[in-house]
Amino acid sequence: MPMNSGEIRIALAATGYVAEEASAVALWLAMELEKPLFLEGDPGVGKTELARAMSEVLNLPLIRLQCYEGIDAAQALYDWDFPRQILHVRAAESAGLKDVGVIEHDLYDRRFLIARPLLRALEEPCVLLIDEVDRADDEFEAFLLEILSDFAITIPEIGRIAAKKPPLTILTSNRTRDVHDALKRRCLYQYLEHPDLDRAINIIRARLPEISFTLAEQVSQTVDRIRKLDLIKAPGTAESLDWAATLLALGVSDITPEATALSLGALLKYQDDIEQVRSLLAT
Amino acid sequence: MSNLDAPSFDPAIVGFTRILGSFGFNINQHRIHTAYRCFGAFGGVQQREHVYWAGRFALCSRREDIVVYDRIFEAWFDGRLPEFQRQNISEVNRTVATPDQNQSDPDTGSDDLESKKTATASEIEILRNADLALLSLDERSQVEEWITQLRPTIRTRQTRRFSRGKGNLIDRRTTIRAALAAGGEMAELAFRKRRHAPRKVLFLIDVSGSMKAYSSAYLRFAYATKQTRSTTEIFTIGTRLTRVTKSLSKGRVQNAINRALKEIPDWSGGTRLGSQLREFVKVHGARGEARGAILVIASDGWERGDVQLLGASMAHLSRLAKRIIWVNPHVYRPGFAPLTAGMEISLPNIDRLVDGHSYRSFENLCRELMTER
Repeated sequence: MPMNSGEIRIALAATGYVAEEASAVALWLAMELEKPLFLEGDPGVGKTELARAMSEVLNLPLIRLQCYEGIDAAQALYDWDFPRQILHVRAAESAGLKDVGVIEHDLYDRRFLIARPLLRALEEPCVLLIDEVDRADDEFEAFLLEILSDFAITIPEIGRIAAKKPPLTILTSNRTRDVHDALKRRCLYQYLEHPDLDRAINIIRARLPEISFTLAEQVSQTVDRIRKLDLIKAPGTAESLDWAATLLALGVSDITPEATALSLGALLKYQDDIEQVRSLLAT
Repeated sequence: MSNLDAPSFDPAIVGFTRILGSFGFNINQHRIHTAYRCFGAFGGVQQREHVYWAGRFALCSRREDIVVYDRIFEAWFDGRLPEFQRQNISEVNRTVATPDQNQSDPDTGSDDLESKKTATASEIEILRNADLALLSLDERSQVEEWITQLRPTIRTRQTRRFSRGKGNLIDRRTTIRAALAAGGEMAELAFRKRRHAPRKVLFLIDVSGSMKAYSSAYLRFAYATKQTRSTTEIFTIGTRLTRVTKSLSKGRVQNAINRALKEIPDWSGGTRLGSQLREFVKVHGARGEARGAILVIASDGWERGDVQLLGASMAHLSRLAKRIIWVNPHVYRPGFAPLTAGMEISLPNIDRLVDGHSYRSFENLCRELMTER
């Protein structure tokens, strides 16, 4: 296990994630303090990817909870397996068991409990990713507060389940909505910026080892220029990687207007944007 | 939280957090404690970067904070802070608290701000608090850009209908139907839950001459709201009532605003609030658009027309809308009283009268939209 932020950075690089120093320090502190890390940043900047890379570094499974509007405790935490409980009752009946107390007691056994991501994260060592927290409702945020401060839950029928060691927890947000401060202050906060030119080149080369330095450089520079335009959706790192891979697949070694015209769909997802960029690159 | 190690609270660091607080950082005991734990985690000798990281991850909570934090941290560590701070506070006071002196000539108030090319932490903070009317064009467009970035969220309302899905209510009909299909065995419980629908937001934006410096910012705020809640409706009022929802509903903000401006015939003209509101009630309000909606009226309440008519229209609107929020750019001024004729007569029918002169007040407006009565 990496001992300091420098080692984390190196280990992340080995998995193909080129992290900035701040992210590595934040991760290290999050593990050291056993506090969740709150990552904010534009879509496609590598928030989810960072959690995935970290699980690889720590050699632990990644447990991911994707948030959405209307998510509630039954989907995030646990649920009782109702059909199996009914089956159990029927089986007990046909076996001639008469002791109602025993049957009822068995009904709330651990084996009838369906563990959803958060409960699983308490039961086994892992990296917990709570993705796109900004999409969930306020009520769910309030519910997360409870779990993230103690890393324990109480199930009325079973009792308290606590994590032996709090897992490294990463929360991400695209900032579509301001997340409540009570949640933020329980976490360490890190904002992921789009990578600067050098790091962008390194990222592309780490992910696509077969790409030439010139092409990686050209892709990064072009994306950098495009990002300065007023676009509906500015390309993130994920999109620039897609674009580089597309160019590679097309056998392009040099960015030309023709190659761009063919492949711009990998980078930009709105017709308005594509037209604007095309006219920029033509000049 | 309870076992805070009091003696380790270095007064210098407490001072530092207090300064961050004065720049709008959300500082509390919890955060300070976390910062200390981060700092402690590094162990060994005190190093500048350790303090930096500890504060950066524990005390910042928004993207905007990070730039400001970097600058304050540097100034603090280089011992420039006492002077730096004094300078800022006086600047903030000058720009924010005494707008009336500069009222006659909007340009003089921002002259020395303009002379500094790079935006320092203090300048960002000043811009956030500054009255839009006192800013130069460049500065105003910067602030308007921030306003466009706001993402107001609107409370939803519970509807009478239910939808299937995980909820806390058992859907009897579906459950029993499924049980019948399974030969009477209730193998699966079906649930249902209350449906939620977004509350409609209606903007009525005064575009008359007296609101000139603010109207564009309000349009941008309405645009930002439209992005998050597609049921938002936007109207401008002056001497005419214009529906600009279509123009402001898509595309980039500048194009959207330009389209809207083309549609508004009475930009920077006079005000006839009363007759415009009545038309609004007649054409849109009573037909149902205002029913149960959150109505945001952005105006200074200068009424050139019939005040009684305005009063009657407001009374009618208050019976239709769920909540009426009146945004007035002059509320923050010392000694403000809602004394313009239009304001005075509307007051009994307004749920909230809020301020709307700076970026900060727009942030508050976002919070206001989240509040349910």
